[in-house]
Amino acid sequence: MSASLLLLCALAGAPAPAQDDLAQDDPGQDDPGQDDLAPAAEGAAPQALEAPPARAPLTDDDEIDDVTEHVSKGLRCPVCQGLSVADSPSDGARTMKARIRELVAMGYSQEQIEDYFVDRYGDWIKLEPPTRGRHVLVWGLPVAFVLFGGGLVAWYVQANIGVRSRRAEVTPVEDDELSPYRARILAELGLDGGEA
Amino acid sequence: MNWKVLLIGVVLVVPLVVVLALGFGHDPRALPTTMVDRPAPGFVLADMDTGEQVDLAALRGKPVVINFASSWCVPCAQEHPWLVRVARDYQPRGVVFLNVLYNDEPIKWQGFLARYGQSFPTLVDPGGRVAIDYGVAGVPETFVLDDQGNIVRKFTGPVVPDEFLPLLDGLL
Repeated sequence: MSASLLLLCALAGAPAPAQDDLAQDDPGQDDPGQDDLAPAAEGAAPQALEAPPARAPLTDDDEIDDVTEHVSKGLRCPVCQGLSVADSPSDGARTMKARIRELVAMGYSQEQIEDYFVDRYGDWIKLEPPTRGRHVLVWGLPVAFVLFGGGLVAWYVQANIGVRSRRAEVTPVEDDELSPYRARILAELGLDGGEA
Repeated sequence: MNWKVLLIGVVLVVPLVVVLALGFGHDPRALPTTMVDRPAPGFVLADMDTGEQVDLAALRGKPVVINFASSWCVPCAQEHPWLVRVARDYQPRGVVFLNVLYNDEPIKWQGFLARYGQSFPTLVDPGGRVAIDYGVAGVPETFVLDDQGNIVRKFTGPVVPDEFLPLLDGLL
């Protein structure tokens, strides 16, 4: 975990959860490291959700770890709100990650696990906002702004090209006062013939 | 020409002003909750002191206060002595108070209780599953359940006495 992420986590904590961060700095606290399960989970029997798992239980630890990491990447740490559960060093995130690992091992799919957390914490818990309701604005507004900006640029460019082309079409007005001088210059240059 | 520039400016600025006005209107660190006005997730947890299993379903018929707390949590230390006093007043009137230990070790919590007082049981939550079931994001968080087992209020951070006590009175 980089120092910048740790600093970000410390700065991003909510008032109450920020105390969680204080615990990280408390030398009296046990800190088993972010990749370990939360201490209280050790030895506890797995607890299923209300719905049955979507598939058979996983037994390969590497596969369980990979899926856990993938699911954890998509969920927001409630303490370090700018970080995912996978990246956050907070106790709260470790607890959530341990629970995710437990559910993955039991055979729950990513969708089931995400639904479980969304049911408890709301859509906010997902790092990637859903494409429904008011969240559509998050996805739609950038596209709308790009289209609007593109249209604006296109309109501006077209308008200026039109002005230039109109300027190019204007033929210079012959100035009677300058005509004798121009004729003289051309004559001295020997260009007063067919070229002029 | 100027009215076009003005129109473009308005189109660009007005949405930004609206977004900023809405954004400044709420605390960005305040976490949303989906748990209020729905049945409280059930649990069976062990009493830290007696080892006795406490089943939330068995408490149906009484208002229940569930306080998630930890010994390392500074606001918990500020809140706890007051909660202990309130529990002494309200438990005889039928309100059940429960502490649920959040990311902490019983031995440390026992030291906390020795320092800040104890008038209601502490339950141990292995793996923080119950905390996640309740959508707990940090401590302290306090859930108030009516006698039907529905969550009627969640306090994030220390409970607010002016809101907490009338709420309990209303549930009795």
